[in-house]
Amino acid sequence: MRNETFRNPPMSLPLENLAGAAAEERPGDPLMSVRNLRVSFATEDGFFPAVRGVSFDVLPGQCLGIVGESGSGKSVTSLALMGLLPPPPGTIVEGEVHFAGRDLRKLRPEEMRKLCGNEIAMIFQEPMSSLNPAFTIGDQIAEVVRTHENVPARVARARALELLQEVQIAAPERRLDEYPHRLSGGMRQRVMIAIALACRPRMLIADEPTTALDVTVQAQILELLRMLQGEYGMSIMLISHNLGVISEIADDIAVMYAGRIVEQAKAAQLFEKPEHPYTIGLLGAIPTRGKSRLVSIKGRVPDLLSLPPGCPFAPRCPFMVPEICCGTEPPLIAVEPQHSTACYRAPLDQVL
Amino acid sequence: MTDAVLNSAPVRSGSRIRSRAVRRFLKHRPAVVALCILVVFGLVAIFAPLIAPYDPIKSDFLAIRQPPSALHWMGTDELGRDLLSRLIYGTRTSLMAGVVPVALALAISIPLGLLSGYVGGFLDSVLMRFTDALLAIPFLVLAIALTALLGPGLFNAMLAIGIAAIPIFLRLARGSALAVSKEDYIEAARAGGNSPLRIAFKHVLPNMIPPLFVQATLTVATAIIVEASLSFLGLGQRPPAPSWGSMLNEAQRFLPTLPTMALWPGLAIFIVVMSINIVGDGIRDAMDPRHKS
Repeated sequence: MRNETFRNPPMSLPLENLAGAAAEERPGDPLMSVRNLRVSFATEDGFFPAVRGVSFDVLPGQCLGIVGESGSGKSVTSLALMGLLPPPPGTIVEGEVHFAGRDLRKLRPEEMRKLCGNEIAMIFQEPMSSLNPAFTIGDQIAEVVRTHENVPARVARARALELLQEVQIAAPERRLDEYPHRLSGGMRQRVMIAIALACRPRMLIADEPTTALDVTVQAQILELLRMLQGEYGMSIMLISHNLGVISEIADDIAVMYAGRIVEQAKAAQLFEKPEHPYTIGLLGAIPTRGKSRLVSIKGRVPDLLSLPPGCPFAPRCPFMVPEICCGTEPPLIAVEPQHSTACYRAPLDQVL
Repeated sequence: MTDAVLNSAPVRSGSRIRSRAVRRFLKHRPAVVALCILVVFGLVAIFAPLIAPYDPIKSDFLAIRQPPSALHWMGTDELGRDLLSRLIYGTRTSLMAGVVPVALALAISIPLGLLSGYVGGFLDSVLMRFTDALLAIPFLVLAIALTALLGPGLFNAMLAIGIAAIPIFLRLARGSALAVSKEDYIEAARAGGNSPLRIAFKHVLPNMIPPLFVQATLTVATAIIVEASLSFLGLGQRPPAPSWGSMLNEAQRFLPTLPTMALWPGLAIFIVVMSINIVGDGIRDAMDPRHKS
């Protein structure tokens, strides 16, 4: 999944952030590289394998979209990358996470904290509850700036204002001294983005950033993200259950199902020639004008505690052939350059 | 870039006044009236020596158990002491007995509750079983038992009330910290690279305070009653120094002959406790828009 041409070349890399690891980082390398990530949650019924061997690369200045149903493990993946898994039940069982030449799993907690919010920032699904109600917008943005950069309060505040202008909030001077409850959902998500951008991160993880917003605001926020991505030259990992949202800005798309990536491709390839029946199902579920009925995928995500042998999608799959699909789980293999799928029946045009 | 922004835009300093909450509180008429009453009582307590017409502990055996008169507006007690002066000095005791134990309980409960709720684990279990055990005992009974253990006296009574109030606040503080630490903005703070200590004090602490604040106002009222009860039982303020509770205690023997003697301290307790409760309600409504009355 390497791509030699950067659509958005990094314009201003925060050089001070590279100290120590710069030597290991070569141009053209992925900014973040995840290999065989496995995450389990200890539950009363045993180990719940939320993520089962996920590998992907996030290229500098590019957007990777991760799409999947609730429970497919996409949010858990993002939390694992940030080291934010709730510690007692959730653990990374296996796998490697490299960011800018550093092995994130080997970093000490304080090193990880230095990285979080500074080089990797995250925005969440619920803008209504992701801002601290006890502090003004300005204080919250300035706080992040001051956590990671040693600047006086006045400068941090000026930077907060600048950021609010950048995320195109109306009347930014006034918003600085307002508390989050006075802002609408869309405005709060803009503030969240401003907070995420506060330290000019190299990578932004956006976990369902538009899900809680209404459709017109969704489009605005996506447009804003796309614009800022270009401006900051950052990579984005966009997580959504909505392939329509992903298609707006993603360069690469990974489709997750039951804790695994089942299809991975360049965005255009995926839409043009999906090679996994689940992806086809998702594409059928995007509402467009003129489509009279949406196609739904029958059944539901299997219980990860008792996965059937073979392909986890087999019970819901229209192309399923018991002899082929119900033996062992299909591996993710390339069907064409930069396009891989975990389906025994691929390429599907031979099936149809 | 930064300089340009500094010059082009008004950069005011962030005001921390919760103007919205204050405004909502001021709209709550009864609460404002109650607050004024409390301020008056507070001033009376502070300026007691200037206001009181007589020495509150000086006996006058020529004027024993007198009904209200021009000379003694509220009358005198069985030792000829001026009831108005005793009531005024008693305000000090009662208000102090309301505020000091609550402050003590808060000072202990907030850090422990934060620790218990945010960190959790073994410490949380131990602390919560401890509070469960103490909460099983009624507040007044616990306070009486503790005072009996510590010995009578105003200081010990306040200490006992404070200790008896700790489980109430600890449980609330812990629950509040627990609820706040599950909030998305705490997760966001963690994603922003804040250290656990910083998250606990900077992000969890300010947000766990409002329910405690409301509980505090209500417990101040309870503490005043408990102190009055302890004094009534002879466990609180030592005679001859006055407190509303001990005045009631002394008055009970003369209820049939001189009911006014019990009326004044009773009325004072009623008004202050009522006012505090109304103010507490007002604060709760002002701080939490969901509790619209």
